[in-house]
Amino acid sequence: MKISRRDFLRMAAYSAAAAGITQFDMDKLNQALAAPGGTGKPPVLWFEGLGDQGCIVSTANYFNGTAGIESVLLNNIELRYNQVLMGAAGQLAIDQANAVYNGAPATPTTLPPSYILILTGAMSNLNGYCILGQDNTQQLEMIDYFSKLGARAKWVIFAGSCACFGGVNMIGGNQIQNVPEATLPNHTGGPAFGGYAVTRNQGYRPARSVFIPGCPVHPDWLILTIVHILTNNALPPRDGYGRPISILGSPTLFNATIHSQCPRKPQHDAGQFAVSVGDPVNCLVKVGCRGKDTYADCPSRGWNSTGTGGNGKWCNAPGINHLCIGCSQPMFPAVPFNRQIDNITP
Amino acid sequence: MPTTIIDPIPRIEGHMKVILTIDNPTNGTVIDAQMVGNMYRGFENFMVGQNPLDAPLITQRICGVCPVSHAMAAVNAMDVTAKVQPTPKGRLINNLIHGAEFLHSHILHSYTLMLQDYIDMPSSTVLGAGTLNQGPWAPIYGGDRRVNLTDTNALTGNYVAALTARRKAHTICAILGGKQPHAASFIGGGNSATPSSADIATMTSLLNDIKTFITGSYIPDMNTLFGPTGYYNDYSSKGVGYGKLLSYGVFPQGTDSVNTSLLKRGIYDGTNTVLVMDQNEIVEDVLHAWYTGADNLQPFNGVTNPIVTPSPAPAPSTPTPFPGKTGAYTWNKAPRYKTNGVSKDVYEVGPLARMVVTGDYPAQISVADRGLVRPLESLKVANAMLGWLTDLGGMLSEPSFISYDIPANGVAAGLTEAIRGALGHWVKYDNNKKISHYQIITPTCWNASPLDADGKNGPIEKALIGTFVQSAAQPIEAVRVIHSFDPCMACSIHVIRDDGKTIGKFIV
Repeated sequence: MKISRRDFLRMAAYSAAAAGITQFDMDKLNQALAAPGGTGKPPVLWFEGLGDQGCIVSTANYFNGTAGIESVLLNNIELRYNQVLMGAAGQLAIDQANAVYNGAPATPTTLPPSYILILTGAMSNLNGYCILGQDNTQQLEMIDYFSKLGARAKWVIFAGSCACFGGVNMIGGNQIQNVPEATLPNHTGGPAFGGYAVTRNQGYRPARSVFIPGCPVHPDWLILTIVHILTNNALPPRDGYGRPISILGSPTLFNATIHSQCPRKPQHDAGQFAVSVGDPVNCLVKVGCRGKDTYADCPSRGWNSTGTGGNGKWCNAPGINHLCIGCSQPMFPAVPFNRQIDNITP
Repeated sequence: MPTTIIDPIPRIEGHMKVILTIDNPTNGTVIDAQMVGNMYRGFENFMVGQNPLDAPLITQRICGVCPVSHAMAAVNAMDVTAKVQPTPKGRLINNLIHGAEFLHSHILHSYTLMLQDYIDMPSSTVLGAGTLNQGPWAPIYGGDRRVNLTDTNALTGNYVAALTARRKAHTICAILGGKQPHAASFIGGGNSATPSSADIATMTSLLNDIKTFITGSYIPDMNTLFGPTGYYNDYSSKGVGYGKLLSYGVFPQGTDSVNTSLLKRGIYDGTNTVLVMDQNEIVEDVLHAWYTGADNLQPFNGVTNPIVTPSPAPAPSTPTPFPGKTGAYTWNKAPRYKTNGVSKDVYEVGPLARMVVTGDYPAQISVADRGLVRPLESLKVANAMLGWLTDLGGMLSEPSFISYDIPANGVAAGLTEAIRGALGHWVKYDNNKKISHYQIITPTCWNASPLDADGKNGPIEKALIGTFVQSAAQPIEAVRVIHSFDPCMACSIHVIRDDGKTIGKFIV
C-alpha cells in the first residue's frame, strides 16, 4: 500500500490522539475529583429509550489499556440509574432517580448536587410505545420523564445514533436529512426521534447537551467525553450536530471523515474500486461505502481493543471488507446500504 | 387479591414489567402473573421494501446483546432463498463470530445481570469495605441472601473478572466482524472477512483466556449457587413451568445445516426428546397483545399491526395505554408449537432447551438448571471454537464467500439460535427482489409471551405461578424466576413505522 507523506503525517497524528483516554488522563481526572474542594463523584442517571441496549453493552467494552469499565464505575462516576447494570428493581429503582432529581437545584450548579443525564435509545411521541417504569401508580412515559430530568441536569449526554437523531427506529419515518443545522427541518411528530429534536424544544440545548452518535456508540467516545466534561467542567468543542470534535485539547472523535483516515484511500485516489463487498484491498465507495460522508475516527481508533492507527478493526477495514454504513451521521440509516454508485469523483 | 407490580424489571435488555397476583398482602404464593413488554419499535413493518442484502445490517439493530444471531437468521434466510451454501471458510467465520457472541452473552447474563439476585454485593469487602454500597449496585431488594462473606467476596471478584472475559469475547467478534455490537461482515454465501494468521493467533489467545475463566470460575461459581450442595439448591424445584423445550439448532458444521449442527434442532415434549422441529407448525396468537389481526397464524402469514393510541392521547397516568383492546396487556405476541402437528403447546426456549435436545444435559427444568447449564454450554461452544479456529487457520487462502444474485419471489425461514433461545426470520421477496414480508419470532417472544387464544400462560408466567415470595413488596424470588430465562425485550419487541397516525405529544 502506497502512503503519501501527507497521509503518513495525518495517520501518525491520529494514532497519538486516537489511542483513547490514557492512564495519565484518568489520573488527572481522579485527582480533580479528589482534590480539596473537588466535587466528588458526580451522580449519573442513564436511561434507555427505544433501543437495543447495544450502546450500554458497547460502553461496557471500555478498556484504556490498563483499566476497564469497572474502574470508571468504581472511581469516576456514581451511576444511580441504568436499567442493565442496577441492582434495584421496580419502585426502589425509580426512587433512586427521583432522589437524585429532587436533591438537585432547579438551576444546575456543581456536580453534585447537580447530575449528568445520559440517554441511549430513541424517544417516542406515542403513549405506551416506550414506558420506562412505574412511579407508584403513575406510568412513566420515557419522553415525559426524560424531559423532566433534563431540566435539572448539569450536562445531558445523548449517546448513540438513536438517542441523538432517532437511529434505526427512523427507517421509513422522518429521517433528519444530512443538511446544515440551520436548515434542519423541524421534526413534526413522527413516532420515534432522538434528543436532537427534543432538546431544542426543551431549551437545554445547545449549552448543556452533547451528541455522541454511532451505532453503537464507541466506548471511548462516551468515556472520553465524560472525562473532558469532568476535567474541564465544560462540554468539549462540538460540530454543527453537537458532536465532539476535540477532547482535552486534541482534535479527535468526529472531526474528520472515515475516508480521510482510511487505509484504502490511496486505492480510491488511484481509481482502484471494488466491484463487490468483500474486496480486501480496493476502495468500496462504488458498492455503497459511506466513508466519504461520515465523520468518525473508527480507522484511527479501531473497535473492541483490536488496535489503533489503522491497524485495528472497523467495518470497512482491510480484512473485514464490508461497508461503512454511516452510522454516526444524522441521516443514518440511509438505506439502502448495499448500492451501486457509478460516478465517483476522486 | 393483592397485586405487586415490578416496573422496571432491572438487569434485562429492554423495558419489561410484571404484574403478580399474590394470595397474601405481605407474603405468599403467586397465583397469577402477567409479563408486560413495554416497548414497541416495529422492525417487521419497516423491513418491507428494503434491499435483502441490507437485512443482516438492519436486523442486528433489534438487539445489542445478540445482534449476530439476528444477522445469522437473516443470512440463513437469504442463502435458503438462493439455494446456496456458504463456503466452508465462510461458515467457520460465521460460527466463530456467533460462538463468541454466545460466550459474551452467557457471561453477561450470569454475572452482570443475574448474580445480584443471589448475593449481597454491597456487603462485599473484596474491593474494600463499602466500595459497592453505591449505585449501580445499591440498593437492592433485601431478603434471602444466603451466601457467606467469603463466597460473596469470591463471587464479587468474579463479577469484575467477568467484565474482562466478556469484553475479550467481543474482541473476537470484532476481529472477524469489524466491530461489536453490530458487526459488518455478514453477507450471503459466507462472510466478507479475510482473517490473517496473526488474527487466528490473537483469537486463539483470547479464547483460551475465556476458557480458563469458564472452567476456573464460571462453572464452579454456578455450582456454588445452584449445584446439589449449593446455597440455592432448592431452586432445582422452582420456576419449572410447562416442562416442554424447543430448539432450532445452531452452529452448522457441514453442508447439512440441521443434522450436523453442534447444538441440535428438536423438541423435548415433556417425556421424550424428538430431533424434529417443523417450522410449519409454529403459530402466533395476538389475542392478549396490543395488535390487531387473527390468532393462530404461521409466521409466513403473520402480520404485525399495532394498536395505535387514539387521539387525543390518554394522560400518561392511564394504567392501560390501549383501551381499544380489552384483555391485551403486552407488546409480545404468543408463539406456540403444534406438537405432532395437532396439539398447540407452550414451549420454553433457551440454552437449557438446546443442551437437553442435544443430549448434553439431563431433562431437568428449573431455575437452578437454567443457571447451571449456561457455563456448560459456554464450555462446549468454546471447545468447538478452538477446533474451528484450527480449521480456519488451514484455509486462509480459500474464498470467504460465494457471490450470488438475490432471487425474485424468494421465500425462506431463516432459523438459528440466539443465546437466550430459538430465533427465526420469515422472509419473502417480491418480483423486484425487494423484501415484501418479514416476520420475526425472538426467544423472548416465546418465553415472555402472554396468554394465548386458548387461555394458556406463557412460559415465564407459568413458571412464576406457584412461586412463594417472602415479601410481596420486594419479591426477589419472582425476579429470580424471571431472570432465569434471560429475557430480552429489545429482541422481542416489534418496531415502529411512521404511519401518519401519530400524535403530536411532542412538537418542536
